[in-house]
Amino acid sequence: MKIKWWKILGILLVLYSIIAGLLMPVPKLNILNETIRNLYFHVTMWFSMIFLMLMSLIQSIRYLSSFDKLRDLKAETLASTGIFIATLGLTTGMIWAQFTWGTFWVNDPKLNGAAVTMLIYLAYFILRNSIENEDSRARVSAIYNILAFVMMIVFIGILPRMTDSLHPGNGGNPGFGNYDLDSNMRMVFYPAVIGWILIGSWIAQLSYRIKVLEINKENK
Amino acid sequence: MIQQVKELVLKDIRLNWRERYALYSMLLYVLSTSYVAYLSFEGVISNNSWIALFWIIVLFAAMNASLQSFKRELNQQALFFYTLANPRAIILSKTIYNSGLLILLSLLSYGIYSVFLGNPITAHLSFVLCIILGSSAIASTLTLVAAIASKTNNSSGLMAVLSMPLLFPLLLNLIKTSKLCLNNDIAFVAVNQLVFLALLNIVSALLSYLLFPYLWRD
Repeated sequence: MKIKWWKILGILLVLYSIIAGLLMPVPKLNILNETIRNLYFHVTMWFSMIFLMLMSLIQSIRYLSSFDKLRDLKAETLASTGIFIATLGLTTGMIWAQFTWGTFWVNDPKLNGAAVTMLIYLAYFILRNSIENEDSRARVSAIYNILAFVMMIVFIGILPRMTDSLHPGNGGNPGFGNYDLDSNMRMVFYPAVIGWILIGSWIAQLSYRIKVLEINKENK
Repeated sequence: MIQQVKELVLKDIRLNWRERYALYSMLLYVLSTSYVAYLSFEGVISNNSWIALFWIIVLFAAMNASLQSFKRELNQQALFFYTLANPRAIILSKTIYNSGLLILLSLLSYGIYSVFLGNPITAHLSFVLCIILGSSAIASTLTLVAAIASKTNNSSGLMAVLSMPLLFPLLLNLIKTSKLCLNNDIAFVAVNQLVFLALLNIVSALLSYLLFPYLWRD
């Protein structure tokens, strides 16, 4: 069995981010205090999710140019792994919000963006399941995937910047913005982002391989 | 191409004018929802609810209108029709027709709605621009989603599921823009938001233009 170097790197980086993330010193900020360590586990999930969705988008585009069914399977697997990672991101965020804001959910552009992203991709899976014909399903869902990703980027990229937000990093709130992230935190945060992106890709690869095996078994 | 788009838009207008009952039903929808809103609020409504309710009425009118747009293109005859015209011309013409229809419809409902529930808007020019840009953005997104949904077995049910998350941020932006139009003496406000709406129009039209050619053939 081949183990690629990036999987080992992913494990090491995530292990490092867990150990260093809990032990390294962090700046003392109002309200946030020690909860700022959630940065290493919550924000990294969204980076990983965006990366997986981007990969899914690329597979969808490549499906439309080649009509290769495996590309469609890859796109679906990457999107479902992305949804899984997003659920983790949402959960970590909600637990953090309970302790910092005193409530699990607030009406806020960033949170709305996260909710919209989840809804869009859940709709993508419903769309997939509602078309019987395999070719038609692959083509239509690839188109919706492209539409969904572009819309998602427009909304979570632009909309929160047009309004004030309760979320750290916006509207003068202390938090994960450029001003507050000191060099110690960067040393943990960036490796953690890369680590979770690698782990997310690994999960997607494994579940893709399982699906391919299942398809081969059915065809025998 | 432009000639084709023009012909197709004219064809859509002519066909839909021949079946006017669909247009009348949309008008009746706007009229009756405004009246229901008037009855349930007993004529007294806060500014924020006025705005929210107005956009919800427009949104559902848009859903109804765009659900019709690919009704005729589902049968075998449509396949022949698609070989005659460029698919890009077809989606552009549908987008233009739906946008035009929805702009008219929402301006009309603005009038009807104001009659029943009063009109708290002070920045009229901005609000009308917001209605025009907003309804064409809604219509152009919904046109592509309607095309996608028409490929499935359960198109009317799926239409809401597919389009709601895509339209929800747009709706938030529209409500925010409308709120800016509330308490301003100047006629023209919220330039940033209006530019964003215009950009959104371009993005969704471009996406339809690029993606539709892959969608139509079966």
